[in-house]
Order: sequence, then structure tokens, then C-alpha cells
Amino acid sequence: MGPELAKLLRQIIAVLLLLCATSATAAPRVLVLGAVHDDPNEHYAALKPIADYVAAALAPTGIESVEIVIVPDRAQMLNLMRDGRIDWISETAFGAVHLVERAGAEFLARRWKDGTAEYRSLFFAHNDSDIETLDDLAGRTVAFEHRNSTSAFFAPAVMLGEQGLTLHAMASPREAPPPGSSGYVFSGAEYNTAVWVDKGIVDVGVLSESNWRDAETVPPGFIERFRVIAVSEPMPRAVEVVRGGLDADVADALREALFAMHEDAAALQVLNAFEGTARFDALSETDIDTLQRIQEALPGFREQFP
Amino acid sequence: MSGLRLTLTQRYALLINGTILVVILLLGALYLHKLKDTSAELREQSGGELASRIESQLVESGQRLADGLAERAVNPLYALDMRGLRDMLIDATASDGIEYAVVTDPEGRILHDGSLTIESFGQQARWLDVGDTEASLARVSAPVTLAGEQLGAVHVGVSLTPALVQGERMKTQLGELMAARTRDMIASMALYALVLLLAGLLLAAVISRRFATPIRQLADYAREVGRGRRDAPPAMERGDEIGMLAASLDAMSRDLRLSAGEVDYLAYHDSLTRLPNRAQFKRLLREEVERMRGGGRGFGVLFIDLDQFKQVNDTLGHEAGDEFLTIVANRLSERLQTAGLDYDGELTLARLGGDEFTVLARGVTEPARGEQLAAAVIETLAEPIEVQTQAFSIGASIGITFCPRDGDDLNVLLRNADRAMYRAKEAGRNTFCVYDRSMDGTATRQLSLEADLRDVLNANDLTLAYQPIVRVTDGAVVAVEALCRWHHPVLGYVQPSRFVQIAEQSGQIEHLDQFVVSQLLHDLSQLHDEGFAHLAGSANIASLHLRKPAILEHIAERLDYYQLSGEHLRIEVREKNVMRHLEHASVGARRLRELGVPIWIDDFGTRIATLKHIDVLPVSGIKIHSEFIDGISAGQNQRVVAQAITEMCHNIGLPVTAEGVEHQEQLEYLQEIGADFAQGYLFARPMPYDDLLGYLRRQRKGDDGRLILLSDYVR
Repeated sequence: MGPELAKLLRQIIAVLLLLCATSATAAPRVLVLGAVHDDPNEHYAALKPIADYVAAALAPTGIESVEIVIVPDRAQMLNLMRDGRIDWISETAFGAVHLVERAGAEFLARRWKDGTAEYRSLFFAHNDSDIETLDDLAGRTVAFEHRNSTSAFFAPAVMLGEQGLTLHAMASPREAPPPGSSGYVFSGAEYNTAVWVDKGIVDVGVLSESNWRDAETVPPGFIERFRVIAVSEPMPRAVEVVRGGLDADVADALREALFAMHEDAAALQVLNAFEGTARFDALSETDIDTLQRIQEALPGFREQFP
Repeated sequence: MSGLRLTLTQRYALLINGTILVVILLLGALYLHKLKDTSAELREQSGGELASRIESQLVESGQRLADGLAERAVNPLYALDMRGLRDMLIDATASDGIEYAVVTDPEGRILHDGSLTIESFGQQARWLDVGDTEASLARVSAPVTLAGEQLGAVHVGVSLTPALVQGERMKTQLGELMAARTRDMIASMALYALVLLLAGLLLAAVISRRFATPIRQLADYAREVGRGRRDAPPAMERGDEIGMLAASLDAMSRDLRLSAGEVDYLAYHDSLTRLPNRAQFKRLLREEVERMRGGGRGFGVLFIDLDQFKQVNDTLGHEAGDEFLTIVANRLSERLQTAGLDYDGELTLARLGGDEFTVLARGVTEPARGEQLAAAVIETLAEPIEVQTQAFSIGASIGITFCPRDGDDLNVLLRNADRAMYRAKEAGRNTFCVYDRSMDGTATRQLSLEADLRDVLNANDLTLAYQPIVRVTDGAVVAVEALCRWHHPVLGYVQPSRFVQIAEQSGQIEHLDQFVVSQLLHDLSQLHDEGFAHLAGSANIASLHLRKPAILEHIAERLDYYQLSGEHLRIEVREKNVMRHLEHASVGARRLRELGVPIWIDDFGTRIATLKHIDVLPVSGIKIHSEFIDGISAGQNQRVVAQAITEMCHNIGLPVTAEGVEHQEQLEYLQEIGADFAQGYLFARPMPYDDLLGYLRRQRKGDDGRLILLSDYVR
């Protein structure tokens, strides 16, 4: 094959592709379901059934299919949503607020992830320590789980800020915080948080209610040695948001479909496959209030935890 | 082995196979022993070596694991990521043989042990206690470093149990292997043994064929020979011992063939004279009687008894006697066969035994012809016969009988001839006599007594009676005199004087004396055992005068046998024989003196010669003839004789015994004249041993338990 012929072929293919793209935007309407996850392969299996279910449910609105896009971090997701390339995403409270604030997304529904509608964060210390309340945290070190965690970082960190504590990020849990401030570290795993508190590596740990009750995270041996010193306000367990520019009919139809799922016997299995979801419903007043507070705290938070 | 009879083949088989078995067993035992030793050593060594090799491999892999973990642990350790550490340690302890895996800080304090709750947190890793013993655990560690700075360390506990188990397992497997080898070896040894044993059996069979079979043939042959087979043994053409055995058997068989005839001959012939013996003679006689009864002719029988042959024997001894008999036999055969006496070999000379010969004269039925033959015999023997430079003239007494004239029974004929022969002897010897029936009655009484005496002596059917001899002073029994008694089944009591005479005449006197001595000493010994140890026994011996009196050695032998001293025996010799018996140098006197046996003179007082020489005779005492004792009550003269004899004897130191004391008066006189001992009906009659014993028990008075010695009476 000569170079001339190859060049010609390339031009023909480019024209054909252009034609195809034009017809796709026009004719078949696609809803894109996004997710932030570091293991797309595994998470795809959890999303696929509900994507298909929703696609079917939205057919009357002209939606012909639901596509799944999984990205590894929130920054990328934020960009995609800003670009209008993601229509719908299920997020934590913090993640949802983040998207609403930065990408103009809108709250759509509350999801009962792991069968729970709301959850709270627990501050706990070792029985042997003299820490009784959050006020005792000056000069002590708190272990959060991860920078992205709502329940194990964002919500409790906001609480500490509201408490008037000065938080100081530390490279290692073994360091001592500067005088007058409280140090914090990320344990990287809820289990680490529990161990650190149990073994006296840090003074206080923070975990969500669900993790607290999980024996793999807080082994039975530990929990007797721990004392809960503070509990956060309840937060919605998971929040569905949609792109700001999404067709209102589609958004309504989606909400309707989701809300009805737990009443549809055929959909129960689909729900369960999606992170043990029990149902979808409307965000409560408290939820909205909480989300609002988070939104308000966010700028100061970003300042304090860059 | 006497109970178990084995053939040669079986013995060879036993020997060969026994040897094989012993060798195999010895070698097998030795080899097994060595194998056991070696296998035990090998097991220990191999097992140990395997264990240590596996151990070092385990330690190495444990170290590799620790190194790997140390690398993996850098990040989680740096971040104190307990979950990361846990996942890593769970992975590590999931491996086989890893007892524990922990991560420590630089000071060796445990940060994570892989468990959910990390209970060992803060402990020193080196003190970590695991369920295992230290011996079966290897502890390895690796430092966790980041940019040259030690963050901590990984410690791993490696179980050495697999190594030990493997070592033990290897030992076990080796043991099993060795056991299997041993079994194999035993099995193959058994197989070899079987093969060798079969070979041994084969060998034994070959040896048997080569040796045992011919030996068995020869044995069979020998047995056949024993049963009378007389042909040659089976042919064995071989130069070995079996060949020699066959040759010997052949020679033996040949000798047997020869000697069998000789045995027959000896059975029916007299070995001395080679004449037909009594058995043969009787056989021939029986044949002749049968022939006669069957219508054959009659015959005559001559019974020849040599007169005074005993003198030859006694004078020159048995050898000379035998020589004499041989000459007689030869001379008679020659004479009968020649000089026209034997017609057509019809005469058969035989020797019945001793000096008795017979002639079977076939066809001789006429007394005249028989007498002619007898006369020829006498004539033949009349010529002196020289033996050992001495010439003897002896005659013959011959009895003649005829068949069927005098009887047609074998025994009757022999008896008739015998009787006729005795009649000839009575007629003055050296003559012949033809049997007639008148001889059947009285004529043979004396002769039959002689024969009967021989029988009774042979059967020891004579008995002894004992008459006590007492001490005159107190009547104590000091000795007993043995008196021979013969109760003849037909004639009744036979006088001792009579049968002693017969014994002397028929040459049985020595035999009779021996009997008396034997029985006396036997009874005396019993008396001693019964508590009468002081008693002496007195015997009359008639055969002392013989030239070689065997009685002397008999006395010595019996005394020794019964453990009696010579003083317990007294030999009484009648006065009339004293001079003949007891000349000083006589054999009898000398020998008796050696034995310590005293000699007493019996029936003393009737011969002047004795009286004259009484002081020089080798005697120890005298017995006064009963004639003088009888006379004590009768008349003065006799009394005087008794007194004189007593005094005379006392003068020369000889004690005196009075015989035939019957009355108290006699005893009193004897006491008066100082006689020492007495015997007679006044005290006791002769009595059998059992009665004597009773008598002695009743008469114990005066028994001081001491033997009355002659010395007590020597004055």
C-alpha cells in the first residue's frame, strides 16, 4: 500500500467519524452516570445494574441508554461535570457539596447506602486517657482517616473548627503538636485510626458510626477500651447530584424512577447490588441544613486544610 | 542314636544338609547383624543430616521472607499503616512453617504482630512466646530501612518442626526400607538354602547310590549268610573299602562254609578223642533201635569203664589224664577196626564222658561175639600206657547187652549195659559181664548210691546237723560239731560212714568236704550274726590226704568270704588217718597252720602209734574216743584210760574233749579228771541249724561272749 493511498483512506475515515458523531448528539440520547473510584473495574459491576434499570425507566423521556464513567479523583470529576460530560453522580455529603459549589450541580436525592439514611461521626479516646470532651484536645493529636472522607475528616474537622480549636497538620502521629494547638494526622485507614488510639499512638480518633460498629475496623477487644467523647450531627449517608444543565424532565424522571425502586420487587436486587442501597428518597430538612452548613464551612475549611 | 535307625543315605543327607544349614545360618546371622548395625547408623546419620539440611533451608527461606517483608514494610511502617502491616504479616504467616511474623520499631518493640488487636504491641520481639519449643524454632529478622535510617525491623519465627519431622520420617522410611531389604535378604537366603539343601539331597542320593547301595547289598548278603546262605557275595569290582568289605565277606562266608561242618562235627563228637560223644552215640543207638524195630537186625552194646583211671588223674593231673584218654581212644579204635573185629564198619566206638566208652556193635547179637569183642578191648588196654614218662597199667570193666534180646529201648539198653559193667567191677574189675535180668534187683544198689550221691551233691541236697560241745566246768557251749546227713528218698537215712566211703571210692570225697565246709561256715557266720560270736565250728575232713587237696583253698576262700578267722573252724581228723594226713610236712597241715585253723584228732586213744607221737603231731587238741567214755560207768579200766589220756594231753598242753557223754555220772567223772570239753546226748543230740539256734538261745548261761581259745587250756 502506497503512502498516497494511506493518506486518502485516512481522510475518508475522518469524514465518516465526523458524520457519526453528529448523528449521536442528535438522535440517541444518553445519560452518563459518573463515579470517583480507584478501581473502575470493580465499581463498574456495582453501577451497571442500576444504570441499565434507569435506562429502561427513562426510555419514555427519550433516554436510550445510561453510560458509566469512572474517574480516580474528585478533581477530574469536577472538570468532567463542569464540561457537562457527567450527568449524574452519587456522592458523600462533602463530595456532593463540593460539586454543587464548584461545578453548579444540583442535589437530587438521598441514598440509603448500606441500608442507612444518615450517619454521624464519633470522636473516641482510650479509656486510660484523661480526655473527656473535645475541649481537652489542646496539645493532643487527632487521627482522621483520609482527606476525602466526609465522616472521618471533613465533618469532624469542621466540628473541631467550630469548637475553636486550632488544628495543626502533622507528618507523623509521633510528632507533638505545637503548643496551644491540636495536631492531626491521616491514618489512611479506619482500622489504623482504631489501632493508633488503642496503642496510644494518637490521643483521639474519629470514625463514622458504621465503621465504629464494624468489628473489622474496631475489633471487640478495642471497643471496650474506648470512650466516645463527642458525636457529630447526623449527615445523609449518600447524596445523588445531577449536572446543573440536565434537562429538567430527565432529572424529574430520574428522581421519580429512583424513588420508586424500593417498591419495585424487580429493582430490589438492583438496589442491593449498588453498595447495599435500601432505597432512594428525598433529602430531609436536617440533611439540607447539614449540607448547607457544610457548604458554608467549606471556604474556611479549605483555608485551614489546604 | 540307638533308638533311631538311620540309613547311610539319611545320615549323609543329614550331615551335608546340616552343614549347609549351619553355614547359611551363621553367614546369614552375621550379615543380618552387620546390616542391622549399618542400617541403624545410616538412619541416624541420614535422618540427622536431612534434618539439618532442611533446617538450614527453612532458615534461609525464613530469612528471605524476612528480607522481603522488610522491603514491603518500608511504606506502611513509615506511615504507621497498621492495616498495611497487618495485610503484609497475614500474608507472611499464611506461609507454611512461619510461626510468627512481627514488625518492630528500631528498639525491637512490636508494632504489629498481624493480629487484629495486636495484643503483643510494645513487647520485645525476641521474647515473643510461641507455642513451640526453642529447639524447633529459628528466629530470623531483617531491618526496615529508609534512606539509610532504620525504621524498625521484621522478625520471623520459622518452625523447624518440618525439618525434624522430615528427619524422623526419613529415619522411619530408611528403617522400613532396611526392614524390607532384610526381609528380601532372608527370603533370598531361604531360597539359596532351599536350592543348596536340594543339592545336598541330590549329593546324598549320589553318595548313596555310590556307597550305600553296595553296602546295603553286602548287608543283605551278610544277613542271608547268617540264615545259612553259603554262596559267594554280590560281585564288587572296586578297590575301595567297600571292595575290601566285599572281599572280607566272601572270605568270612567261605570260612563259615568250612566251620559249619566243624560245628556239626563238634556237636556230635568228643573234642578230646574225636570219637562220637554221648549225644551222637544215643542218636546212633536210636537209629539202630528204629531200624531193628522196622525189621532190621539186632545189635550189641558194650559199656567200657576204665578201672583206676582216677589214679592217673590224681597223680599226674588232668592234662595227663586227657592224654591218657586220647591214647586209650586211639588204641581202642585201631584195635576195633583192625584185627578182623570190625565187619564192614559195623562197629562204632564212642566216649560218653570221663573214662566211659561204649561200642555199638551192629549185627552182634550173640553173647559169644560180644564177649569176644570185650576180651579184645581188655587185651588192648592191658598193655601199659606211658604218659609223661610214667607207665600205667589199667584195666577196664565192661558190661554187655544185646538188642532186642535184653530190650528194645534206648535207655533200657544203656542201663542194662551200665549194670552189667558194675557187675564186672564187682567181679574184680578188668573183666566183662553180659547182662542178665538177675542184675536188675540188688546188684546195683551200691552203684546207684554212688550216682545218687553225685546227684545230691550237685544239688546241694545234703544237710548238716550240729552237736554242741560244752565246757565241762560249767556246761557253756563253746563249739558245735558239724555232722553230715543224707536222707535218701528211697533208702531213707544213709549212714555217714557209708556215704563217706562211697564218696571216697567214687572220687566225690573232695566235693563232699567242700560242701561240709561251705555249709558249716555259712551257718557259723549266721550264728555269729545271731549273737553267738564265740562259737567255733568243727568239721570232719577226709580229703586232706589227697595230693593236691583243693579243700584247703576252698577253706581259705570261704573263711575270707564269711570274714571268719581260722580259729572259728576246727578240722577233725580221725586217728586212723592221722599219720597219713598229718605228717609234719604235709600240704594240708602246713596250709591249715597258715590259715590259723586248728586240727583236732578225732576218736583218739585206740592206736599206739599216735599215742607215741602225740607230742610231735601238729594238732591243737584231741577228742577221746567214745568207747572210753562209755566205759566210765562200766569199769575201772576205761576210767583209767580216759584219765590217762587227759593227763597226758594236758601235760603236753593239749585240751581234751570227751565224746559220747550220755550220763551225769560220766560228766562228773570228766570234771573230776579235769577234761576240758564234752559232747553227747547228755547235753544235746545232733540237730538241724534251726533247732541249734533255739537250743543256744536257751543255753546262754555261761556264755561270756568270748571264743574259747586253745591257749586257755595250755598249761
